[in-house]
Amino acid sequence: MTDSLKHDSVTKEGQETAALYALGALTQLEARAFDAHLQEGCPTCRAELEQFDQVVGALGSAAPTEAPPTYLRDLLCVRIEKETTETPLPSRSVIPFPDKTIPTLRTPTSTPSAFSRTFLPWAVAAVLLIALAYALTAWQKDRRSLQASIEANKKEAVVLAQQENAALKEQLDNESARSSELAQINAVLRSPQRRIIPLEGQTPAPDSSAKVYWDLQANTWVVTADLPPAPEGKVYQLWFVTPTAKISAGLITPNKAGHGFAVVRFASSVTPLAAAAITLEPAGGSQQPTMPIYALGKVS
Amino acid sequence: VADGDQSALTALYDSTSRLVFGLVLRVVTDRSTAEEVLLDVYTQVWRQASTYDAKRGAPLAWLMTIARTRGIDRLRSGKHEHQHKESLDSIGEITAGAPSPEEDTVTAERRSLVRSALETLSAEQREVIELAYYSGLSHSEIALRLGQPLGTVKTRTRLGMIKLRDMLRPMLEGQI
Repeated sequence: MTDSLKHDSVTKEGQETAALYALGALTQLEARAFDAHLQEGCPTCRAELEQFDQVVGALGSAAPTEAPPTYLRDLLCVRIEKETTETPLPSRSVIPFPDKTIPTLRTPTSTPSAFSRTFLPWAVAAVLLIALAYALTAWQKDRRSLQASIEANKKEAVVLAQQENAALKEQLDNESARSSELAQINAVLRSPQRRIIPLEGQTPAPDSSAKVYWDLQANTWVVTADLPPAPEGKVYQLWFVTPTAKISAGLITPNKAGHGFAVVRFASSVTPLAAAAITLEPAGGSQQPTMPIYALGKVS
Repeated sequence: VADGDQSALTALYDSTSRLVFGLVLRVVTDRSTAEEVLLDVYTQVWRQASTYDAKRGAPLAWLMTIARTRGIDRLRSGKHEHQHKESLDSIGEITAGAPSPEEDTVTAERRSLVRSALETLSAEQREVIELAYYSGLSHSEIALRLGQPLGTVKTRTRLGMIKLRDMLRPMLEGQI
């Protein structure tokens, strides 16, 4: 499909490419080549793709249905409420893309893939192709400087190897930290009186999560958390919430990977514990929670 | 929803969330991840409803496409890869073919049409299409996973998709 010829009638290859494209199963390169082919205007392939796109659109209906937990509906309402009050709706200012109507919001952590390109506007694909072409020309024009940079890369390789050693060491440190963490969690899990409080990520960082393992006998709480890096001058603080008070349970300092771990001990029990929350606070922590909640879990 | 009407979104949620959650769960397999993705899906619908063009396809297909994309993006980010792989089969057994009382008849009809179309495929054709659909794998990744030559995977995909297209044609043309 990399050729620029238009197809007068459906070919096996054309159908194959269109089917794989609709399913998002082409490699990125193949998908871009097919994009280019369509852009040049091949009505045969476009018609094939449209039909296969419809098939793929229908496939989702075959998955088994499952009722989501009821609290998700409330969470959605809260989130939409926030969106409405915080950001003006783009309803009148957005100009729909003439072709594909679903630009995908990509998270920075996910790898770009052949799958998503089905929904990327053609414009983006075209820009990528132009960028690629430009990069190739620049590369051909300037081999000499490329060779110079290869030399430089060799030196860099030595530095890289050293960095790699450091990274491995860090990984080992992380693993040993993780195993001591697991030992602490296991200690709580062995307690005859224990509770686990899962904390869900809230609006500032919905991907965050945390768990509080509570040993009711020993008045010990083991906390693990996965949080985004705290902004400069801010720290994460854990709170135990009772009907009458919000009690600080100390700071949580995530490592580079965003993983935080803490063991909290109190002389007496915190009862009745209604919820646990992690908030973002000014450096040093606060007497009472001030900043937004990053993770929250109610004690059921 | 296109007018940014909040009650329209909750109405849409009420009539479609079982479908969307089922699909997302099938893709990401981990329940808590699926819950996060579900919220993301409807938030995206809320933001993009104004750009949705009814001429370009059934709204349900649009919604399910967002759900699948979101699910696979999350799967690719790999955060929850190690979790609860085994839950997939049990979920399928418990809920397959158990329509919700609120589910409207059009949706139920659509589901049964798509399911019966899938059943007309050979097991091999269904396998490659489901792998591509639910796991977002590329053709070569599918070939690798199944231990089949790439050409075989491509042919199975093509034949399976053509068969699905032919089987679903009445439904797709009616834009159910």
